[in-house]
Amino acid sequence: MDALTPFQTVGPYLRLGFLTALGRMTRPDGGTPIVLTGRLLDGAGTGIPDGVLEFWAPGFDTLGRALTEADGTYRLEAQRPEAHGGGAPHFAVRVLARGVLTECLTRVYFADDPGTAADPVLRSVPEARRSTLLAQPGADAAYHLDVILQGAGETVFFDL
Amino acid sequence: MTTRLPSPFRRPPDGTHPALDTPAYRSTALRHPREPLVVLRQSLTELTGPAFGDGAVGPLDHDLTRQHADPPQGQRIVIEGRVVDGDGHAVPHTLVEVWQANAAGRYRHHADDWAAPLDPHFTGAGRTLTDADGRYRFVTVHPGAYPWRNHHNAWRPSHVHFSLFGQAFASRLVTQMYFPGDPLLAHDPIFNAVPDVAARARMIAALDWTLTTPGFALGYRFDLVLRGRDATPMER
Ligand SMILES: [Fe+2]
Repeated sequence: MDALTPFQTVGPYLRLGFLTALGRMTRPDGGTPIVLTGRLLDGAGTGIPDGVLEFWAPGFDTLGRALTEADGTYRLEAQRPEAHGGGAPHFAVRVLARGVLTECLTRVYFADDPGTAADPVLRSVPEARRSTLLAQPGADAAYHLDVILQGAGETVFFDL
Repeated sequence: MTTRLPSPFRRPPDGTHPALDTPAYRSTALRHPREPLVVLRQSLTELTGPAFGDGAVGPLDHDLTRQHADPPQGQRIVIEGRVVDGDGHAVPHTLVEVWQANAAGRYRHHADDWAAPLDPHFTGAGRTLTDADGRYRFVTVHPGAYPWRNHHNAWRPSHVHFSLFGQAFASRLVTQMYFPGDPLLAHDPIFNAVPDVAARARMIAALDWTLTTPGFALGYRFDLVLRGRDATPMER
């Protein structure tokens, strides 16, 4: 049996230690620039000020780390990820925060991508909850998605 | 078209990681999903991750006692260890980040406002890359215990926060390193959120005489074990 080191929470002071790749990730092969924003919310609808969303997709140079502000707002500058393996373009997302003790993993898809509706992972999610994974397009390559840890509109989280 | 993917990562054994819903740690109450998790087959997204070159960290990033003009207050210590996967294979060239309270138990962070002194010579953050054999080393001071608001008279045991990027998105780890013999461990809801007692013990560093340097610093060994991969690659 694997003798793994257990997960623990980042606690409230994660901003002190997370110094790398803040708010930006880059695809060295190019790609359309985007800005993704939203809020990280708890089960009372309150913004989480001591959290971080970490984004990843193959082909990027680093994890994109979006630390949350006092009202739970996060902001990521990146490029649109490429589709691969029969799926639609997406980011893998890990939520770390005070009060989050272990893996809390989700994905972000793009509501305006023609491949999104047919993505096999999205189709494995109950239909009524799929919209929790869809970033909605706004003006100027801006996308918006709130991540809700609990309650009404709760984001889909994955068991990896 | 057949694409050969890297091998997927094995499931962590039950009891190794805490539950997201851990009532004794009150901050989990509104911060855990109530809906069931959706099982996700590992794809290229989860089986890859960023690579780091030597330029990723500065020469003094690993030494928290030399980041200011003068050394910090407190008991100087060395923390050294090896990062391996569940099969014992080294995890080389991966980013390790640490952050901690100072010797008085105070974080250099705007939200930490309890009445312990800040140390002008201590930031409390460090970074390094593991070497080709998965080894890392930090020099720092023994962090103090500190009070928190979880329950009446709650005190966190001394700990150093660790963040490891790992080989891929799926094998990243965030944890805390504790110190041997600390009587506060028995009372800490975060440490004890790990169900398996043997797994819990793997978060406690060991005093190590081979790392202890005469006339300089006590040495603690803290090895970390990340998820290992299945033996056979997936095809799809
Ligand atoms: Fe802490």
